[in-house]
Amino acid sequence: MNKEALITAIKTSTSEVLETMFFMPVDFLSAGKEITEPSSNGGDVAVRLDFSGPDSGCFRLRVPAPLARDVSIDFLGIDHDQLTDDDVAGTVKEMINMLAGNTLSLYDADAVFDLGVPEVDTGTDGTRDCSRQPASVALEVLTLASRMTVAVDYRD
Amino acid sequence: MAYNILIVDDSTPMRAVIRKVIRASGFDIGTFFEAANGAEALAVLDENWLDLVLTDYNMPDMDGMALLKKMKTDDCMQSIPVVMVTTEGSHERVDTFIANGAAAYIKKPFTPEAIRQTLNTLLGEPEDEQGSIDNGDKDLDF
Repeated sequence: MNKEALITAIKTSTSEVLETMFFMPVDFLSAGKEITEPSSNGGDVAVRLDFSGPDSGCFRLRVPAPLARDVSIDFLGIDHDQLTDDDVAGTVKEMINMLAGNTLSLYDADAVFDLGVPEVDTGTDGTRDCSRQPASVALEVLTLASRMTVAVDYRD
Repeated sequence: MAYNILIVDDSTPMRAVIRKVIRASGFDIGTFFEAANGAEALAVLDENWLDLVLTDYNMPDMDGMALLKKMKTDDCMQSIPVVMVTTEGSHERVDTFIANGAAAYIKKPFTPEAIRQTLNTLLGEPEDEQGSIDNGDKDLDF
């Protein structure tokens, strides 16, 4: 994959998804500068989604637990005491689903990619190597009160 | 006239959001039915009268395209409008949705207005404009 084009698509997609569906204005660390690895924190909600097509690999998303809970409450329009762990996981999985689909269509709208089913990333540190892909792009996304990490591992 | 609407998506939160947007748009809704994949949707369709189906594409067991094809070749279901609501954005796949009979396509992420406009086109203007998404409905915060 073209790394610069992929970074641009990730940034545009992330802004569109988080601002349109979650009313969350975002910025990118160092104006979208790529980071080497997602930060690791045991309190994060980490999800992944595989894709295949002209290029293949996987998307990873890591959201701090407090931010994931707040986003889920807003997204679902429910009270804090109604929120379940399944609600949080489901919301973050839907977030990566939209991020991935939107990113890939922005990257190449003429290509047909197949998306897998989002799943909670059960890797011990949340940074496990998806599908053993050698190349990776990771961006730190800044929200008003927190930050999250979007990464794509792919076959170069 | 109250409309019966089926929302098909393997994401429970997304089904809830779509339901919330439609409710806030002021349409007279009879019953919301939900299904997590195409197979579940067909079971609902077999047992109930539906006016509209909104379906995701990428779902386990039976995806939205298989559901669409099945409905459009079934004498009892082929007249029901099917709206694809999906992250799929490739030109080829969108063309395929329409070629196979989808009444409309809404790309995720979507605005409430996109849902409302599509339903306006397919169902007509809602009678109750008090629920308009433009009037600051407090429930419509995604």
